[in-house]
Amino acid sequence: MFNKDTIITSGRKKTETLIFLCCFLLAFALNVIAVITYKTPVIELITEIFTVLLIASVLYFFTVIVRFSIRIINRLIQNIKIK
Amino acid sequence: MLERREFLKKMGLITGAGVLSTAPWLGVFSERKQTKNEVCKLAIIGPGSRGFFLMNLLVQNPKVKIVAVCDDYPPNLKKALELVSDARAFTDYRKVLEMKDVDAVVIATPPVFHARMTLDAFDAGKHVFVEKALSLHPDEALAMYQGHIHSRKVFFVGQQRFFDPRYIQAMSMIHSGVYGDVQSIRMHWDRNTDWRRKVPEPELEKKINWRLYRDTSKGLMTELACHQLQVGIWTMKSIPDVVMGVGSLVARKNEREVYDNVSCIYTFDNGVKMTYESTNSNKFYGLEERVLCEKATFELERGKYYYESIPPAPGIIQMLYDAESKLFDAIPIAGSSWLPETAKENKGEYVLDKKPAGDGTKELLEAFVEASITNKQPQNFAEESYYGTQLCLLGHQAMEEERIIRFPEKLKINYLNHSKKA
Repeated sequence: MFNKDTIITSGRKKTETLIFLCCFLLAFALNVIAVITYKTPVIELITEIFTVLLIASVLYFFTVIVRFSIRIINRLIQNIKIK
Repeated sequence: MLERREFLKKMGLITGAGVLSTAPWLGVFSERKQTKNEVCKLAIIGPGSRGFFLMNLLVQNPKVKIVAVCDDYPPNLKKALELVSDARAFTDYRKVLEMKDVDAVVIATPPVFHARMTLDAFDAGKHVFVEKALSLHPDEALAMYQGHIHSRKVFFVGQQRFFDPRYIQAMSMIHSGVYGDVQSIRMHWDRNTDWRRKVPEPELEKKINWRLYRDTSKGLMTELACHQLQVGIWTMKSIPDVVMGVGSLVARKNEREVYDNVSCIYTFDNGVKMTYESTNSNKFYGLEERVLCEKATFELERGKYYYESIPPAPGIIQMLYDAESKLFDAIPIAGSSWLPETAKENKGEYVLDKKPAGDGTKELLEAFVEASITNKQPQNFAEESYYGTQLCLLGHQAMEEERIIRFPEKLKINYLNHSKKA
């Protein structure tokens, strides 16, 4: 299993990039809301970009876990149906 | 002048009018270049623990020749002669003062002897460096200061903080007014030591452990407070006129006569309080002098300052903290006002870019040698030192008499807010 070459299709790459972009936009939106809510300087939209990236990565990681879990559950259901 | 500027730079200080107005005694270095071929002939009276430490620094100064050492305790004298073998040895300080080729004396005996030795040295025409505290009696301290004025000889006291670059820089910053007015001063010095030294024979107990007895020491006040209280005068450019205090023996009741636990409050005429606490049975907080200004707090010993208002954390971080609090904290019953502010941790800033090599003692001794050679007393130094001793003695008196003491008129000299009006 581990010595097998893996192929990431261009479709998968597009999907993952799109998902990460969505996560980034969501994190950026959170930063905008935080700047408005806590009345902090607008420059934080740039200076806190690494925090935003960190939050985006956490969100993306969260989607990976969710999607992976769904996939495993689907497979289990399909196996039960076949039997 | 150039030489003084270079010297200040070597100390890590930014040169300028600010530093010299804060520490005018640094003007003593203005003729360093002209005096480079001159030698000050010194005698050390009392080369015990502190005296020997001073000797070690003095022998490194090419402008110093130690020509005599004096001590009535043979082990101290022997140790001193190992360092300066060509110096003459005495057991009676009066013989030292009779030496024509002695320009100046360094007195590092227990404080009970300071006044007599200092006054005799001035009478003999010698410049004097005496360790703090000046004396154990306010009247004697005044007599010593007057002896300096009348003899016109140089008078230095072992208050090394006046030459510590961290203190000079911090004082310059405080005096600039940028950080607002001083609101309060808090000082403490906590040690966990019994001060006891080994005694070879029982009859030497008081001679060696003089710090522990009431007739030869005022304990924490003359040994430690003296160093710190003078910083308060320097900070405020004023002398507190009201003193109150309490002292007690807590942990070392059976080991000594002097207090091991003291607490004093000094009040300046603008209402600012200077608190002082010291113990001999817990060292956790060590020593510090904190100056609380309107816009910043200074920790002089650490050489740091902390702005009073620090910018809040970025909005996104505040949002995450709040989300975390809502998710995991217990339901607040008193609203959110009692919750700690989500401010950035205030680590403060150092007053100097680099940590100084010493605590100012070396520079203090260099200054004394310069002043002795040029026969010029540095501005304000004797006065600041005089009041440092008076404050520790008045604090001790307040503790002993359990009453609030006003600075006695008879002890005031013509300095700062005690200046005599024409």
